[in-house]
Amino acid sequence: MDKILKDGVLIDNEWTDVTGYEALSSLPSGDIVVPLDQWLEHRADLVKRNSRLGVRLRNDEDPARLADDLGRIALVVLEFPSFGDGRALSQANLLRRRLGFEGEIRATGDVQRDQMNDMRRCGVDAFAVRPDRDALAAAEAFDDFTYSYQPTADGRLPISRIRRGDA
Amino acid sequence: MYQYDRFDHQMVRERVAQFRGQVARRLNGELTEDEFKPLRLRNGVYLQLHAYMLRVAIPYGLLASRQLRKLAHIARRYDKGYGHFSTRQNIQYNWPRLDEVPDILAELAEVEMHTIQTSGNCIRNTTADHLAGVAVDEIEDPRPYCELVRQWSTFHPEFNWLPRKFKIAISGGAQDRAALAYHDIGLRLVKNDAGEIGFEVMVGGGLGRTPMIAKTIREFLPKQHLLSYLEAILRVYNMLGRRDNIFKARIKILVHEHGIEKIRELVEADWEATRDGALALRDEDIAGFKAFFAPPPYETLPANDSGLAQQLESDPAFARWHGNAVIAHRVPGYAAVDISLKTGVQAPGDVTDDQMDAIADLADRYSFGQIRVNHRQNLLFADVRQSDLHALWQALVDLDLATPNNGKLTDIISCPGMDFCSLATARSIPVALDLQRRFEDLDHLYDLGDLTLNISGCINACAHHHAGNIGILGVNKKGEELYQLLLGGSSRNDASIGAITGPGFAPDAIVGAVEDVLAVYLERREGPEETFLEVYRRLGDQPFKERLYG
Amino acid sequence: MAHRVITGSLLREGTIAYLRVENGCRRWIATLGEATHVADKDAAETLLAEAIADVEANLIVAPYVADIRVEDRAVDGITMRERIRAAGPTIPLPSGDRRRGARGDEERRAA
Repeated sequence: MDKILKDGVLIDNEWTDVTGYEALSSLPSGDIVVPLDQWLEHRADLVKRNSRLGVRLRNDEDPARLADDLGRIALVVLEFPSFGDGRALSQANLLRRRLGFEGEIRATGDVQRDQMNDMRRCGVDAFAVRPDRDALAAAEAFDDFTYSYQPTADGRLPISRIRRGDA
Repeated sequence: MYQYDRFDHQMVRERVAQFRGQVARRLNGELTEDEFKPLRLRNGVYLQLHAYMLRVAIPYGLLASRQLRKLAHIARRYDKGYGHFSTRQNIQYNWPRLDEVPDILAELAEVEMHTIQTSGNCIRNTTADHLAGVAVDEIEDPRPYCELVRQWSTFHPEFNWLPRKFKIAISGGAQDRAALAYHDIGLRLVKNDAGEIGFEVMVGGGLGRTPMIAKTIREFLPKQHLLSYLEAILRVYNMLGRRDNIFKARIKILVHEHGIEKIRELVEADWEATRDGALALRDEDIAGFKAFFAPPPYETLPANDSGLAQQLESDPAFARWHGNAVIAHRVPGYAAVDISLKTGVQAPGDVTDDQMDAIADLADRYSFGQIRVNHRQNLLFADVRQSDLHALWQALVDLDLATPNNGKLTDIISCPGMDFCSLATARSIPVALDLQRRFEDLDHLYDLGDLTLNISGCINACAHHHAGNIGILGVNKKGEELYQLLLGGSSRNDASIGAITGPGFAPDAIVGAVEDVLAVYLERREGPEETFLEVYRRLGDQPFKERLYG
Repeated sequence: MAHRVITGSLLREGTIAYLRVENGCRRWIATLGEATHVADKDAAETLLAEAIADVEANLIVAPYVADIRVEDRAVDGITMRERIRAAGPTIPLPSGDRRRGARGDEERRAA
């Protein structure tokens, strides 16, 4: 993950993925993303770090396991192993709308144009677009639809409420 | 019927523009076929044996005459002059070009039609029983709820990339005319002891490789919770449905592997959090949708038209058709009319562009300008005055659309099969046509009584062969076709899955095998009133197997 | 005698096409009888590999090797499926083969 698409621009990825159970003393400095298991086991120590903390969820892990910790996490990384695997869409939705997570939800994996609109409506706000794709061109997908029939996590009022006159 | 407002129009127009862009990106190579395929499927575009196939949604089977005329025009302009009505209340075109599909979609949008989510691993067309709003035994019209579900499921961002396709059906009363037992979610309108109307919710039905009958997950769901409950089921499915094996990815497998109690527990845990939230339906919301399906301006008529009685007496051919194709209606003096598309002249469910235009004209003249599509690939006029039946029948005779075989052996449900479908392992249409020829004689046909016969050209069971009283499955044996025979299926309230009789039959022997089965039925029934299914359930398959295999 | 052809679907039209190689030039044609056929399995795989260039040129979708039978210069598919692909649906279409006509020759020159 070199570049992240966020708020319409490409920014450098400031986070380091920590994938193994390194000893706490040998973790890199700066903002780190740890797998869920490692977070749950070591959070007492991790929160003492002088850095932001992120958690990566496999797409078969229950976001509710983070429910008590969301105030201490700045980033949740979700995985789309193939563009047809939409499990992380439910994870994003639960994090954003059920659990009230206010930090960054980042989509990684097979992230490309034709699924990004769905991701955003489920609460994803940062996209590690596939390196072989033009991320800014992919962002055009966000404008494909003006309205939504469903309540969504991107702040848009659903059609049913606009019809009612809830402006 | 439902009328689009500016939001619906904009959604459909933007979808057309989106797909136009996706087609362009495919044609210039920016998208590979693997990347484009799920996108085109979500717009109803299949690549079939001879050409692309385009599946157009007919939400809950309801069409206005101007929409049917547009479908005729599309058949003429972009296809080979005909269309095919499917078992899920859609219409299919077999010969469009990919680079013309965006134009077809634009034309459909002009009459409030679309191809949205008619394929792909997403929520498909929500179907209803074809007598919605007019059935004598109806508890409540399911169509307003179908429209609510349609909008809720359209471009639902969380459920657009499911493990597999998802099909919902809604029925308006006790009689299951929508094959609820074989849907991923079946909803039946019911009345509880307090007299309130709500939904019985069933989950996990389906056919294909592993046929299963849906199980009740909730006996009574109050109406206001319809969407939040559906969403909880979809969320559990999206998160837990298998993605490792395409043949084990439907929700029926999830229910089978975890058990309905566990699935209910998971669904209702999610539902607890959302039931009173943004998806809760207020009375005004439901009333708003009901208003679109208010009854047409029925005249006040006597329950039995006297002119009709005389016509029935004096015209035996008309009487025969009336006895078969005319269905009782809740409003005195009216009737529903089945228009059989199983004429034996063309493939079951096929209609030419001229026939479509003529049917649209008849709808305007005799049925408040509306036409319905049912699950048997037939059409229906729902609101015909009894006094018009004779004139309507004469017009249908002129169009070759008056075959009185509703619910009989030759009212065959058939998939397109290997003549058209790239998934097929055998042809289905020639077997259907052969059977229709063999059983042309109406006296013999009626003597055989009520009988459903379904022919699928492969294990995917698009013609629901497990749900037919007699089912035929075409398979492939060393590059040649072979037909398996199944007996005893049903898609009504007494749903049952047909059982294979034994070894398959060659293409020139399958019709003979069906004749053998029917011979046993005629010999062993306890009277003409006992149906084939009743005899089969009474005797089991032994007598049939003995006749078939000696 | 068993032979092989390369066949697929044209991307734009969706219709069936067979590979014909003439003077080193690839074309996709609609009629099986005019397709290039080879007896040798390896030769067929070689032809298929060349056809991939036309996949990348967005001309043809999912080409594969199909077994055919050649008898007295008459060519037909070995399986029912290939016979139907070659000849069209085995049942008459409802209003006759209008508009696009019968499956005539729609030739495509390879890129």
